Order: sequence, then C-alpha cells, then structure tokens
Amino acid sequence: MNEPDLRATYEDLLRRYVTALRRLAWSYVHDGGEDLFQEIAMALWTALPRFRGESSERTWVYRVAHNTAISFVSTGRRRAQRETMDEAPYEPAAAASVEADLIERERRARMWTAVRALPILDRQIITMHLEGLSAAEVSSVTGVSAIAVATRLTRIRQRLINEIRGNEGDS
Amino acid sequence: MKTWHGSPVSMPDPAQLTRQIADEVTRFDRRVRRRNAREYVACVILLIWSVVGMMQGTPAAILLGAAALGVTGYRWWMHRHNRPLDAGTDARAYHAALIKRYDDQIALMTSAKYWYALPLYLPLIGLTWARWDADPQRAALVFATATAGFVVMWWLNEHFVVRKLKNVRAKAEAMFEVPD
Repeated sequence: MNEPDLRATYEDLLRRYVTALRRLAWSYVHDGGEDLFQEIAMALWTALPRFRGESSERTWVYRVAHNTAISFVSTGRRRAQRETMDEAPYEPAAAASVEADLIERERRARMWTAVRALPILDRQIITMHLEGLSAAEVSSVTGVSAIAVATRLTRIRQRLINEIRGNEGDS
Repeated sequence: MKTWHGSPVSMPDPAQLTRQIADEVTRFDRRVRRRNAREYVACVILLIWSVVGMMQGTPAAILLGAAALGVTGYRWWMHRHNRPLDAGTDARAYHAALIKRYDDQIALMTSAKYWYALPLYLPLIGLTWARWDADPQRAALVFATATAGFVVMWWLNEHFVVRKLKNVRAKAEAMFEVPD
C-alpha cells in the first residue's frame, strides 16, 4: 500500500471509528485518555498496511485499539508535553432543564466510573457491546467464546445498573 | 446506550489527525534509525581503535575492541527476530505475546551483567594488572573506578531496570485475571 492510499484508507477509517475509539480510550484511563487515543491512532496507522482482511474491519479496529490500550495501561506510558483531557469527551445533549442536565452529567460520570472499575475483560466486553458489536464480534476481539461473552455480559450489565442506580439512590 | 453515546464534542478532524499521525510515525522511525546507526558507528569506531591498538601492540585495546564487538553482536543476535507485537490479533493471543515479550526482556536484562558489563569490565581489569608494576597508583585507581562502575551498573540494572520490567509484567498479567 503506497503512502497516499494508506493515508486515504486511514482517514476513512478514522471518520467511521474516531468517536468510538475516543470512548474506548476513556474507558481505560481516567487521566490520560487523550494520550491513549493518540497511541491507538498511531497503532492503527502502523498496523493498517498488514491488515489482509482475515477478520472484519470493525473487529480488526477494536482488536488493535484494545490491545494498544492494554500495553498502554500496563506500562503506564504517557506522551510528553501533551495537553490532556481529564474528563470523558462528552457533553450531554441539550436538556430540558438545568436540573435534567445536571442529572444527566452525574449519571454519565457514574457510568464512566463504573466502567473503569470493571476488570479489563469485562470492560472490553461491555464497551464493545455498547458500541453495537455482536457477541461473535466481541468473541473475535477478546478471544473468549461467544457463549462466555453473553454470560458475562448479563452479569456486567446488572452490575453497572446496580452501581449507577445505587449511587443515584445515595445522592 | 444513550448515556454511553451522548453527544460528542471536540472530535478531532480525521484529515488533520491523519497528517499528524503520519508525521509522528515518520519522526519516530527516523529517531529509531538514527539511534541504531549511532550504536553501529560506535562499534565501528571501537573496532578501528582496537585494530590500531593491535598494530601498535596494545593487548588491552584488542581485548576492549573484541568485547565491544561481542556485546554488539550479542545484542544484534538477541534482537534479530524482534518485531512489533501484532495488535491485530485477538486479546488473548496478544496478551500471551505481550507477557512473553516482557519475560524475554527480563531474562535479557537480568543476564546483562554477564553479556554486557563483564565483557567490558574484564579487559579493563586485565589492563590494570598489566600496568600494575609500572604504575601501581594509576593501576589501582583504574581498578577501583572500573570495579565501582561495574557494581553501580549491576545495582542500577537490578534495582531499576529489571524491577520496573517485573512490575510492568505483573501489572499486565493481573489485567487479565478474571474474577468469578
């Protein structure tokens, strides 16, 4: 793949996945999500010439992203002199009222906290599920059987619901 | 789902990000090539120096040159099959490959005192002994300095490099421990 083709293919890839990849990065780290996102972007660029279509493009993208995140978190890598965003990169849509806006912000913060508290495998499963991947696709990314993915997903969703609603009850 | 997806803000422009990543990878590759070139140039310089020393009949120069060549050759031999981990594999395979990479690095750095430090230390000691009768004070100074350097290098390697690698490995392994 020559450089112009690589750039065009990569840019097209980013257009379709950049939002999901940023969510994925912030699901791994509270502080340094921007650093991890940049690492994932670089990993995709490096790996793209070697992608031969053995798996679906979506599966491949999530494999590269999650594996890069694993390396990033295990080494505690940070990129030098980069402005980082400590908060997840989302603002709620326009809410009917200030109070509703505040409730939505708090719910989102609890959700991120609950997701980051999950073990890595569970985190991978739930984030991919929330991005719309099927159990088979999640299985292909994680290496865990589709049945095990489905079983774990039920428990993970219940845990997240309990944590988000449980904290709502406390506040 | 709605809470998860929300409304994205501050999304990077894909075209701009593509240019940025391409430039960054190019710069990184250039840095790696320059670093590798510097190491091989240093080896060549040491080789030339040891050949000159041999022509002048200086055994220590030959020993140091041979040691430097041995160290460089060993490093090349250990790294000749090193390839970046394939991030496109599934997470389990990647995790296994990552742990193995850490194990290999730990083994390499744990043994560094034998293949890196000792081959450079022993010729210096040989030089010291050879010159002891001629200039005992200078020889003793060289001996003490070389030994202290060797010990410090050994300690730093064990207490910082190897320990850090082991911590990173433990962290990577723990990340995939799956609770019931």
